Amino acid sequence: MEKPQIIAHIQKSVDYTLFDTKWIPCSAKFVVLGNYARGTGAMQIYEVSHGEVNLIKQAEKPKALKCGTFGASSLQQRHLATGDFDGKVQIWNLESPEVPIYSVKGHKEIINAIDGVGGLGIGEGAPEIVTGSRDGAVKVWDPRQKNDPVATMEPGEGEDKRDCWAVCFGHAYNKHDRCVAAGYDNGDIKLFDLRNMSLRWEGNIKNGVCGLEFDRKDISMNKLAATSLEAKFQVFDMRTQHPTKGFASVTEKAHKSTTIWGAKHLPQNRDLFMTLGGNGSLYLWKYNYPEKRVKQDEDKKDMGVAGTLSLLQNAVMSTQPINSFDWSPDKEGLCVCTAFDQAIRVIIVTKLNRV
Amino acid sequence: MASEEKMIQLQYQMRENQHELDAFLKDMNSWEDDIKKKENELGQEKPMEEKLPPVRNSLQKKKKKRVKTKQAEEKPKPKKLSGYDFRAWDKLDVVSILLSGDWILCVYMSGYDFRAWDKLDVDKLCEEIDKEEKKSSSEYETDEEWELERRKQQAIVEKDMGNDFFKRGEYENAIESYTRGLNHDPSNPILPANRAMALLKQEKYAAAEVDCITALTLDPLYVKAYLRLGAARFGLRKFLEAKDAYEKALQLEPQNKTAQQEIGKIEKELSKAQMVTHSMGDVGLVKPISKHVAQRSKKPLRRLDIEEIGVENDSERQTAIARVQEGQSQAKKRLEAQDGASFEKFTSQNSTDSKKQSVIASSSKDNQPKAKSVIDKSDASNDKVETQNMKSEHKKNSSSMQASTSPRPSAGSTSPRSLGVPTSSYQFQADYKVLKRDQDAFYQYMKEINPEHYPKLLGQSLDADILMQFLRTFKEYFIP
Repeated sequence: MEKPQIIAHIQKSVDYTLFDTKWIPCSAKFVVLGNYARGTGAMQIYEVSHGEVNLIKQAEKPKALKCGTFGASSLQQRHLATGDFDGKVQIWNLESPEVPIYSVKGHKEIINAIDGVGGLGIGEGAPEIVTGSRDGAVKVWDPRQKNDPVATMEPGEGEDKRDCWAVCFGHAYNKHDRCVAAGYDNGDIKLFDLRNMSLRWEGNIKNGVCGLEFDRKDISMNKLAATSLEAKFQVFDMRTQHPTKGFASVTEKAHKSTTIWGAKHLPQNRDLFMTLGGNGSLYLWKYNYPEKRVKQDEDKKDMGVAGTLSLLQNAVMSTQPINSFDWSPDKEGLCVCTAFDQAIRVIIVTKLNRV
Repeated sequence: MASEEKMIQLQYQMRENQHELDAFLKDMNSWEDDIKKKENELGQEKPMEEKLPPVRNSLQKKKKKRVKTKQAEEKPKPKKLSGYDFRAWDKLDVVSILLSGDWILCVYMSGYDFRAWDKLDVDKLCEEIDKEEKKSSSEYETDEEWELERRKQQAIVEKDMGNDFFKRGEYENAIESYTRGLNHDPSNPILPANRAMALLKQEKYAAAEVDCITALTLDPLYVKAYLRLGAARFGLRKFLEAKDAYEKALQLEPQNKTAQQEIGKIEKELSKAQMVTHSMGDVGLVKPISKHVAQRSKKPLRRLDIEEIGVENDSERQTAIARVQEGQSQAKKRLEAQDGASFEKFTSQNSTDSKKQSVIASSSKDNQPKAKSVIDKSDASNDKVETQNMKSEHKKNSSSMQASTSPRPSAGSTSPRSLGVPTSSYQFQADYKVLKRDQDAFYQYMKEINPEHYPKLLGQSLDADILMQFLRTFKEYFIP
């Protein structure tokens, strides 16, 4: 009875391949990024207005845009940071998106994932952007520093380079602490501690990591959701790290043995998240904490206890994979997603406040 | 019965869901308006000046540095000073140690050392330490801020040391102290201003000017810096600019006597300078005098030999002339060779010779820029070496330039072998530009290239033109 409903509210078809979408904070507008058939990059801004989406602004860029984030910009400026097929990191003022306000050739190859922290009032400390690329490197950028990354995490010489598919920030609960999680095509997940500039933890989920997200960026690490190829995803309890066993996790199968493109936590409730399926479906999950999150092993060492997952609702939106999804930070239950059928969908999820 | 109940329940749920959705949509419409308003307000707000933490790796660098400097500082400190060694105590700058923030590590003062204790104004120190402590516990939470504050304090200590030196007239030491202070804290305007004063005393006006400008960029209301800037410029005899500086000082402090006096002084200097320029203005200039024909001198015009003075000795000139003549004969030979070459197009022997010669000729020219003008002169008029008229020289010069440059391109196109086998893409490009008009030559040229080297030579620069040229050549010459 009280189950949330996932309803496709508005659908809009476009003439290019869609890669990413993000709500513009503090507005009813969202930006979509993609790739025209001629290889150029697409950036469009739409506004939701009384049951319709209206195109407000668009710009064509020389290279296809793969991913974007507002995470490192202040709420006032709302500058969009993007990564493109050429390895360029750029920051755009959406008021005048003709010329980037920051541009650096950050990677040798395509930037697969980008995330930001320190802006929008989310996360303490400096505004920073992290990018993950096919060239195997994960780099952290500060918009105030041109040309050079403030930190680079890449395999040493001789080690083989894995394609980095996913990156995200977390643990930014004070000025100094900050972590970057990176997922690679071989299933590796690496957790870098930016304060100590060290690798804090390393794990493998067997299949390529398509999506990574902390439930919150601006709290002491709580949960990390990692989605992969072959219809599996894992949620790690990041509060307690065991010296040898690492973090406790719960694994779930979903989306009918297709790739799970990502997991996105609801900004208004960190225990709810949506997974995006390769079969065009959306699954809404709830994470239930165990009674005790910490137990002690034989050697009296603390180790975490994973919770359980319950499926709240699912809905099929498209025949093609849903590759990006974003919850509106301002309106609970409003979200937008893009799929490979070249359509943008504005979706409504009801009754989230009663879960 | 059960199924009926289920149906009813389902219907109810559907209705409920629809209701829920309607409510949501209604809510969303009003939200859309609200958020639009909010967004507009956001756009009108003035950007907040947020204090952001420093950029990450700059912070790291600092950290590293700090570790090093600390180590350097700590080393001498743990040394326990002997209570009997008064001289060492004298040297010890207790205040600076206490202020530098590491005072916990401080010195073991022994009760025997009265002098050290005498020097120490304990009350004042305690106050200062208290202040420091308060600051450190409340305002400076992070290591970085601490570090910054410590450096600032060190800069102030250096400044005081510099002032002491200055008072004693040891300007060199004072400048050094101020410089060290500047390294610690580049944002303090007093340090460059004081260094400027010391520099002024040493009559290093230009450096003093620069320091004053630095100080003024840090603090545009710093009257003393303006005064010193004025003094420095006065020293540099930039009177107008000096006056400008003093006037600015007066603007800030209308009663400033020094500025008033100095402006008076400058005005005196300026009027003096004006008088000097009036009387001296025309020195060294010979103006043409136009006289009526009748008034002109009746004496016959005399030709004046113009001799170059102070350029080179006579003997040097002679050798230069000899060299020129040698080069000239070579140039002649070259011209002859080229003539021959244009008749017998592909006699390689001759053309390579000519190439060599031309190389010699040109290099000999390049190596003697001094003698160049002489070369040009002699090139045109073989017998005369000295010229009397500038104008005619100029004319000859240009004509000789033409004469020397014009035969070259023809030599290039007629002797393709001379270009040699290219080893780099750049070289190939250059040669191609020369050869593209002449298919025969290009064929000859191409024949010399090992096809294995094509990728290297063409590499990234293969364009439609070059490809067509290749194909045409293949078609014309290689296919029977």
